[in-house]
Amino acid sequence: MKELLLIFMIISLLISYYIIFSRKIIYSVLSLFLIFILIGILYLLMGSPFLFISQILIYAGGIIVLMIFAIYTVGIKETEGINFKEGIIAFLLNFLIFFLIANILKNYPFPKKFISFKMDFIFDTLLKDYLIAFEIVGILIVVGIIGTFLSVRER
Amino acid sequence: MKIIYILSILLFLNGILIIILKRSFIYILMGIELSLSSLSFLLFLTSRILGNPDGEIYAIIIFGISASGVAIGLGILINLMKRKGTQEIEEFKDLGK
Repeated sequence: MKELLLIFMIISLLISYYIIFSRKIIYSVLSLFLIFILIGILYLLMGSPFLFISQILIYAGGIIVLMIFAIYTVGIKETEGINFKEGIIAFLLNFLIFFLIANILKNYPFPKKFISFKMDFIFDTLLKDYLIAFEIVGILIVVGIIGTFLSVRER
Repeated sequence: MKIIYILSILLFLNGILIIILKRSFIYILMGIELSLSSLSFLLFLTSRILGNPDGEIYAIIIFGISASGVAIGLGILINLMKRKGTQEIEEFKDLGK
């Protein structure tokens, strides 16, 4: 169980490095699809099937399909590779920040076993305490759809 | 379990790395999506560690935010391709003039 989580996490990290070094856009989008599915499986293994379904529906089903549609609509295939000097500096800074955060978290007492919640408790909290945030996200999605439509249409 | 938490921070930083290093608009969108996805996983893990349901609720809200974000981003991409015929970021320096 624990090893399976670790293996999925490491595979998704390797795929994210492939996205950085790849130049073909469609392969990068398909690798992002794989990362989203792996993160969804991590949700499922940690005992939250609702977030697994949401991850598959929204990220893998909605966002990736929308991205592939846009890529084929505008007809782009390849991009330039990364700059070598900038790449080295950015990777060094990346690992520096990562080791600083890991060093801070090293002494934090993590519990041996995770606490899991029932789904009805989470939705009670969502629809009682966080009702305004939930409604605002709904308004945000509608405004995003209208804004996209207004910016793309022919004048 | 500590190592999963730390590695998901590395996944978030890799999303930032894609945003910084890549010169192309669609890669920047992909970096934002990867960062937001790993961030919601991080919030989920934090709520499981602390025993508080707030993190899972934030994860659900981040799903909605990233869905609307990619819709607006792809609209901007189609607009930019119409104006300039390319999607490399270097070409859009004179857009504000």
